[in-house]
Amino acid sequence: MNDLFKRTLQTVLARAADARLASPRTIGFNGRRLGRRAGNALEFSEYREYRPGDDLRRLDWNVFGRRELLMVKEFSEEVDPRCDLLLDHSRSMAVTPEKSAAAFGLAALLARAALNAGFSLALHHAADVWRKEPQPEAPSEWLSPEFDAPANPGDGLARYAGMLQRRGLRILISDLLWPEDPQSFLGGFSAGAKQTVLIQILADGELEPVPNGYVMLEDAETGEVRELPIDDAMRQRFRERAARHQEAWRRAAAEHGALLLSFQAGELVPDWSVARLFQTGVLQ
Amino acid sequence: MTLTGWTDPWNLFALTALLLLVLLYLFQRHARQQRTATLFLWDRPEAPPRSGARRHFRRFPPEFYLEALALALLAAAAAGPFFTTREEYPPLAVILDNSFSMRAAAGNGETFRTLALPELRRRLEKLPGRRIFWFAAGRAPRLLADDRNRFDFERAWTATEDAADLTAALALVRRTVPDAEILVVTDAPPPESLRNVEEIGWISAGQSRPNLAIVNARRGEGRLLTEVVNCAAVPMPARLTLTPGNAEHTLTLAPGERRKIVLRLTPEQEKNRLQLRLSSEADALDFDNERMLLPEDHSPVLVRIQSGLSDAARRDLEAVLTAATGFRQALTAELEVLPPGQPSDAHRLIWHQPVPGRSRPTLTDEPIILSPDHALTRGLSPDELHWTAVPDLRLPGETLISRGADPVLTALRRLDGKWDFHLNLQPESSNLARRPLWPALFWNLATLLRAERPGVETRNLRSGDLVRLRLPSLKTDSLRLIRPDGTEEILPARNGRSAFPAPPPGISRIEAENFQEEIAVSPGNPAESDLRRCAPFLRNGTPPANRDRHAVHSWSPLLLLAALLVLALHQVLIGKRQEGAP
Repeated sequence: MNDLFKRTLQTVLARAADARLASPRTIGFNGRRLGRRAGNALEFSEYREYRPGDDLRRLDWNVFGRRELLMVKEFSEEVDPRCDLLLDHSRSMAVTPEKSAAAFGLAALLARAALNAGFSLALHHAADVWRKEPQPEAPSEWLSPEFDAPANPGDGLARYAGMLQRRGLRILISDLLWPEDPQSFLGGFSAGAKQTVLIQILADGELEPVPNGYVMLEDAETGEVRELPIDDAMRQRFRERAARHQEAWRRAAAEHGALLLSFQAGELVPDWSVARLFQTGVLQ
Repeated sequence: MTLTGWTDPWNLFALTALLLLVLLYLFQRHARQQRTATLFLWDRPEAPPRSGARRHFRRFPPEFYLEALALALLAAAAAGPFFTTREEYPPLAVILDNSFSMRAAAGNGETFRTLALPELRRRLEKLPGRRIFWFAAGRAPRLLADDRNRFDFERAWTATEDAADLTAALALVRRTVPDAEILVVTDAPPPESLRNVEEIGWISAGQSRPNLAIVNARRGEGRLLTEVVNCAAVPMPARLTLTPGNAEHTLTLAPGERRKIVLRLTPEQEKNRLQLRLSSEADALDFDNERMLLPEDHSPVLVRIQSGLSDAARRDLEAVLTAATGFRQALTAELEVLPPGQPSDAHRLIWHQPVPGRSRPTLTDEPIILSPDHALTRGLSPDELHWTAVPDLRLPGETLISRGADPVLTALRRLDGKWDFHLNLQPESSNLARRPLWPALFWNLATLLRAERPGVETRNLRSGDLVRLRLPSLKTDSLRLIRPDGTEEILPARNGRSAFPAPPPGISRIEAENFQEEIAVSPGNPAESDLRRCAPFLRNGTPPANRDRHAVHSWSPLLLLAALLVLALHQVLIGKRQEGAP
């Protein structure tokens, strides 16, 4: 593990000491519609006191009428929540050290937050082969901190989707930069999940075109090399395609009720400004 | 017809800068390398890469092509391209040294002439389509061709004349084509007078080589006089051979030595054509090592003394005619000696004698005056002459000898071309027959009358001599000259006579109606045989300074402008790139 990862881990674990992964039901609640999966049949487990951010539909108004206490119902999944954290180990995640450090650190933070919240955590290293992390609680001991897989998560989903827990929270940490249709990926990734969160990590300016001039671009994952004389028109076309790509993911996330968050690596490394995770209810 | 060319074609070597530009782009201005996760968002190449290939064909950016184009335009502009019409561009006048020294051996089977050909062809091909005037420089220069059509200059360049007057050739060029660029092809560097005339192009492939030569050869009665020279810096052994008979004479000539040799001729050799040959191993030029000598016609003039002359006259005549003066008495004569009033078809010596009772001859002390210009009186002396003649006797024709005011010997050419010589002499009272003048006069007469015979004045000539001949018929107005190389020429004749410059060395034949004659011409210029003056020399000439009427239109300004526009476009392109950079 390199020094940047060590420093990242140190900072992240300090920040994550009190962080808790939110319930799947609350994730994404900030006044927005939760998605099409509301209304699943769940087993009532217990009451607890209302906390800001809780789904108001879960308030038990009978209790309020009787006792003037705001109490929410806890269901069995929330008592024993499951979380699958899928970390994209493809080479594209390492185009910059900050990007890979951000992905690693975020995974460590969410893992710790999940464990703090009592989730049953399964961390999957999505390389060319998906491997389940035996020690998700010890990021420093994780199996493979390198981001060197020649495949993206979309390539392995069909084969390894069975590893994912049902009716749990599924979090993907990836740059989402592969050409396949996001609909088909999300359709598979979010099938059987209670909630899906996509956290996109991009290197600073990754979706900005390179300056004009003669450039030899090498694909981080496939190794394909393309020599291009970059000019304004070509840059414009890149922006348009990048925008369409992002829009496609947003649309797919919206259709599958997934939460999509994008971070620039610079936001996370080294300062770890993760307020948005709290604002969107991923962390609490 | 439009001519195009380059003023300074060597400047096209600047195009090698294109190679430097390519190397620059390959090794220095190479593409920025960047690793990216968003390659799929960039433009794809038009053709998909080969399966398994991970690299696309490298293309240079547009700036490269603009820079290359600008370089090429600048190099082309520096080379000075131009166009002009064939009529506008200064023609080229090529002067070919037609002297026999161009035949000298230069080693490896080459001669000075063949060694000069590649350079000559290279200069001719420099501007294809240009008008070329060809001149031959010999004893007298001449225009060979105005090259409006194809001209086989190699064939016309015979190199057989015994001298090349380049100065006269240059003068002819300047008179004929004053605006021409001049190129001289010879075997020696420019002479002192032309050394600094840079406008005249010069090609010399000559080399200093040893040479032996026969510079003179003459037939006499029973002998052959020849003169040989060693034009080398070392002694040269040689062999002189005379055929027929194969008489050989070995000799060694000192450096620069010129030696006269007399060879005795046998009676057989006297009647025949002779070939004289000089052989030496180190000799570089064979052309001047041989002489062909034809037998000359020195047969006596046939003379007949008609009746009617006085005894004294007849006696004096017979004495002089038998005195080996070149006459032989015959019934059918070329010359008839007769009194006035007798007709004859031959030449006539009309002896005017006093008519008894009518005219009385006198002897006076008036001076005897001889015409100095006539062939008949050449070498005659009037010393101690007593000339008795009929006074006041008018003789027709040109006065050759006069006594005081009275002509005593005249010459008149008749309408049939024959001569009438009128002699006013009373031999009984004169001492003419006992003075040297008398046989000398008849010697001159025989020589003159032999020259009046049909045929050439002399059969053996040297290059540059004039061939004079008489044809049998006065009505013949042309003759055919067949040169040693077989080429023919029709030459004019007038009143049965013709004169023309000697053809190239060798045996030539002259033919006309009822007439055929051979002549032998030999090279005989020691200066031309001396190859020590020969040396290689090259110089590029230039068109004449006066170019007003020669509109040579240069492309350079247009090319420079185009280069500037390309560079401006290049700057615009770079500017746009920089604007687009984040």
